[in-house]
Amino acid sequence: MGAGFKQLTRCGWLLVAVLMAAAADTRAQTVATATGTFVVAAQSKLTILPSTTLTFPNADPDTVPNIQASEGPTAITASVRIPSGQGILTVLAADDLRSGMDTILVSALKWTATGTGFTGGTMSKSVAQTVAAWNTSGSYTGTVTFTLSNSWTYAIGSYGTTLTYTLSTP
Amino acid sequence: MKLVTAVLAALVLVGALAPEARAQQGANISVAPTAFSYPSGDPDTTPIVTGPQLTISYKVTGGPIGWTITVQGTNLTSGPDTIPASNVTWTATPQPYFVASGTLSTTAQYLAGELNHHAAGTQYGYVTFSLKNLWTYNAGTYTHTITFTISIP
Repeated sequence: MGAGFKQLTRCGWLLVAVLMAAAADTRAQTVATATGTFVVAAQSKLTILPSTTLTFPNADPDTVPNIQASEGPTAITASVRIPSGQGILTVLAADDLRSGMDTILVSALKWTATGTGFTGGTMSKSVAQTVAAWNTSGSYTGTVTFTLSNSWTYAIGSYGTTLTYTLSTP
Repeated sequence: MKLVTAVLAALVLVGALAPEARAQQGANISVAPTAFSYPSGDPDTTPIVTGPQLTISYKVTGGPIGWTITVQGTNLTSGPDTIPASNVTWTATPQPYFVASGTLSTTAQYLAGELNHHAAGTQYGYVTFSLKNLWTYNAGTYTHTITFTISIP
């Protein structure tokens, strides 16, 4: 009875264990998944306020050596999404300030700036000058205040030039 | 010997009956589509981008038992760049079984369920995910996984 009984008992308990495990499998917890994709393209947007025209009024060079634009500071909002590297805002003059045959060197036009990434500089007609630079994506607002050096050597006239802003991303 | 045989037979019978009693209780879930895209857009004009509606198909058998569906998601990643899962919200129908809205999390959040009851046959729920569209995201292709889990007691 001894060995046979033990063998039979073991088989019985093993069978019960197997059946109980099978019963537990019916209480299944199931899962479903979905994958979402979002493509962020490199892009940029530039807004210049309040005006795209700057006017420097006539003034006495002795008392006003540097003339500020009548429009006041220019507000610039640059929004960039960049993968790496930098987003850069530059400005380039088309020509010297010109009134017929008379010119004022465009380097007489300078600016100061406030705002994250914005920097001051001197205008050029040959090399685009950096107005602002950023190395992370975002929307940035700054102000640029232009001044024109005043001089008795300027011939009478109405001078103008065109400034082109370029916002670049890698 | 006869006593041992009888005991063993009884145990086998109980074991056979237990799975038979529970065979009716179960749950399963699926989602379609299994892949979707959030649309692109100008963050200034489209501050929220919304993906397509997902259909959740689920079925509970046996009972009367309740059921629960939870939802969780990973952060959206593109190489080293991350958009947190919490920038994603969802809306769901039908009420009262599905919670109307919520914010995605990396931990499981209650999405739907019933106490001590379930409808017969396959049931359907509908979920739509929306993502904040910010200028601060670096350019790249972001992906994340959303997991729906159905549980019964």
